[in-house]
Amino acid sequence: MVMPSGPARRPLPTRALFAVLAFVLGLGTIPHRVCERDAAAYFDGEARQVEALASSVATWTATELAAGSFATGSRRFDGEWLFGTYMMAAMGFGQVALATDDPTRRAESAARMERCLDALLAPASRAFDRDAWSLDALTSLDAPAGSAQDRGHVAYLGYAGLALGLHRLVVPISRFDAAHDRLAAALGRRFVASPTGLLETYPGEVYPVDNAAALGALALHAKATHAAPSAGLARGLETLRSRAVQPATGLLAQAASPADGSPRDPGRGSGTALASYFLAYADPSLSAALHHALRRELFRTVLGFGAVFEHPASCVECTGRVDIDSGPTFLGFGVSATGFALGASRANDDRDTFVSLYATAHLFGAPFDEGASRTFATGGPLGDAILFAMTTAPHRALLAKLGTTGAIARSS
Amino acid sequence: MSPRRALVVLAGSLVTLLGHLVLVRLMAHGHVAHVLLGSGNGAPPIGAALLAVALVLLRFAAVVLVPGAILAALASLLAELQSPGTRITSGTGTSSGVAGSAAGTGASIEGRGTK
Repeated sequence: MVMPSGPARRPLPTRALFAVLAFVLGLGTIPHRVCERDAAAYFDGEARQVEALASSVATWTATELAAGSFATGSRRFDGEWLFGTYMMAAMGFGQVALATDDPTRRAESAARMERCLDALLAPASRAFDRDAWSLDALTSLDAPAGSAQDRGHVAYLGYAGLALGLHRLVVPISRFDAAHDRLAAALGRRFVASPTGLLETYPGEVYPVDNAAALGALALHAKATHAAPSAGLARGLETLRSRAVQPATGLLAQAASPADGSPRDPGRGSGTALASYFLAYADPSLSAALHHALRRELFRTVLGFGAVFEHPASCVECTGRVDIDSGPTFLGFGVSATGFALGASRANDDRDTFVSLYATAHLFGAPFDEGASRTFATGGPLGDAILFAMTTAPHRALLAKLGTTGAIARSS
Repeated sequence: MSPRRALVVLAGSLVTLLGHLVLVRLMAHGHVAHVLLGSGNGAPPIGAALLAVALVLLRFAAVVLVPGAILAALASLLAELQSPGTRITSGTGTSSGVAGSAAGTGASIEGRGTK
């Protein structure tokens, strides 16, 4: 037996082991819980939480954006981002208006939405499309059916049409109705006439995700006007299912051949996630299929933080490839794919995925609360607007209600 | 982790958390994300770029690493407090401290067994 003669001290290896175990315990259990603490409120659509972000987006879109707000180095992408900010903001406000039973909140959201619609219909927001086509998208609506000018513009018309359709569900009669009707008629006509079943975003460039937005726009127009869906809607959806969705992975191709509509890549996270969100308005089953494929092929969690790869592992040559659609990537995880997947998961009632993805958005977005508003410090106007639209994406129950009753906002 | 080191870790964690809060506020008020977007393919303003990089790094540390570091430091301090006759030694005394502690623990276990 050995009795200590000096002060008793816990052996360093034991203390070190305690420290390491405590660190690992903290690493694995605390950070994601801290970051996901607001996720349930967003998923459940709690008014105070949603309003804080809405307030910030309203400030951006009411006063601070100008044509020179974005400078990606490409005039086209600058215009896309300006347009995208107003479009996503309009979607967020529209989704808030549709989901609420509070008439005051609905009226305020509708007013905010109309500011965004005015901005996205303005010449500055149409410039990126006009430059590419040498023809204004809204002017092309008046082109004779079947003429050379009666084609394409699907990005501008599809995204704007989606926002206009959502607005019409909230405000059934408004100054936007005539433009909305012309836009929907042109899209329907062009889908029917297209040799591939898909429409071009720019001359010679076909992106299925932009077509998904246009199909959502056609579906919303039919619901808002209580009209029979356009034949173009069925054709476009069938084309997406049969040509653009990759059989091996279930992911949506990011680009397709303008000649025959064949996919040009094995599918990507950003396009699949965003299309799943858009298609929730047009074809919930296709939206769900894309979301499930995204979960299966590209979604991963690290220490409880959810993220989505931009490219499937099967595409070796895609590794490290980034572009304007993917945004920045880190270890293959895409900022855009992860952000858009928030909307896809909420629209498909996938709470667990939403919560883990929100934790990541919270970690890297760095939300900053001041007064009653919240802005994501690393997001800027576009980031705030996208997160606003995605965190307010409609749940299945609301979408089902839209499918049966059209403009539900009028009933309350 | 020696007690002194544990206190340093705790202090460092506190500084990281406070620094993170200050940077988030600066970045949000300065609309830094907007400034960075506005720079496009050109070089961004150096101040905005440094602020953004600092925020991302500090936020990652504050949110992901600091909770574990605080727990580790607290666990280490708790272990130290539970040892009878604890004295705080500097890091340079670690080597001799290991030997002394090992002997003390062994005696304690044997003592319980012989009562």
